[in-house]
Amino acid sequence: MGKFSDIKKTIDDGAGEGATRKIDVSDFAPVSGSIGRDPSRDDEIADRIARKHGLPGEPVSRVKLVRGSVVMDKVFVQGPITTINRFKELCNDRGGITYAEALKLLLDRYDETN
Amino acid sequence: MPVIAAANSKGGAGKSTLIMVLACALAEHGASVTVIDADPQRTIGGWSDAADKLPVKVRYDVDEDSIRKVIEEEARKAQFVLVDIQGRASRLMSRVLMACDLALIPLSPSECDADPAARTVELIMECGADSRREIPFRIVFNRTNPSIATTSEREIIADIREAGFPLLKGHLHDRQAYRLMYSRKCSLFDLDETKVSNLDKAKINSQELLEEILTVLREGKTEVVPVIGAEAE
Repeated sequence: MGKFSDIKKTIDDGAGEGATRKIDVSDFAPVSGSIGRDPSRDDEIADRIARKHGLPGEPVSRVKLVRGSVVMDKVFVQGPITTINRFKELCNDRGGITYAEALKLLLDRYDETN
Repeated sequence: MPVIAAANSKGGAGKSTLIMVLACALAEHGASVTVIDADPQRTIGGWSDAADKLPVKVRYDVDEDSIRKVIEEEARKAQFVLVDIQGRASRLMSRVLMACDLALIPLSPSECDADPAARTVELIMECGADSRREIPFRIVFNRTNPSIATTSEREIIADIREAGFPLLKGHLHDRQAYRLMYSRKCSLFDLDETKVSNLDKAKINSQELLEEILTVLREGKTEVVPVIGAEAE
């Protein structure tokens, strides 16, 4: 392995020694006061570095998805192909408006003339 | 007291697994441990919520405004505080880095993961430079094959060593036990040896990694850990 030979690869076969060895962690204890550094100064530095690197902060509030307030429904229309084709051509002529938009257009016109 | 953070600006690098494994290994050796899950995905929080009993305390009631306060609070109660950060560079990440005694950067042996890890190193070093204190960190290989080093792995190691960045000698190996620990919502040391293959090897792996990390922490207690050239040949 050459220069990588010092990279430790755990010897996997057998090696029960590691499993039974007790690790002493008694020299680590909870702190009595602060962890030793000024929290507000640390946050100030952290925020400055975050700004410099364009790191995002957490959003202040969750953006709610606003669904349309109009109650939707659907209608299935079956009719002579010539009528249906005329209706589709109307939609196309108006710049590809939806069937619902074309229907509203026709209804508005009907209201105006009656 | 030591506050250990797992940081990498790439998701899926193995931060949560590393934290869970270390937490279990520390608890197995009698340490009091608090894990702070500051990752909005709440991987560790979910592990904890669904578990009947865990040997570690898990908190996930944190955001970027409260993280420092919670770290300080838990450092007064537990011997070890481990913090899992979300997999993207953020203000919360820089705040945690400023508060930690050791940052671990898990890295899977893939070129795709090397760049985000390098950016995380850059961020740590900048936090250290601005605060005029050394923020000790170690890169930790994750999900490696215990018996064969891949070409990618060797090349990335060579790159890290050439740059002079500190790399832990021990790796967190790719072990089924680490995945089962999460899915079965229990400690690594509570898994059933008769039902999990190579559980003994996973335990040994976790303990060896823990010992190396404790050595780094002990060195940090008495001397400044040089960032550049620490592991260079």
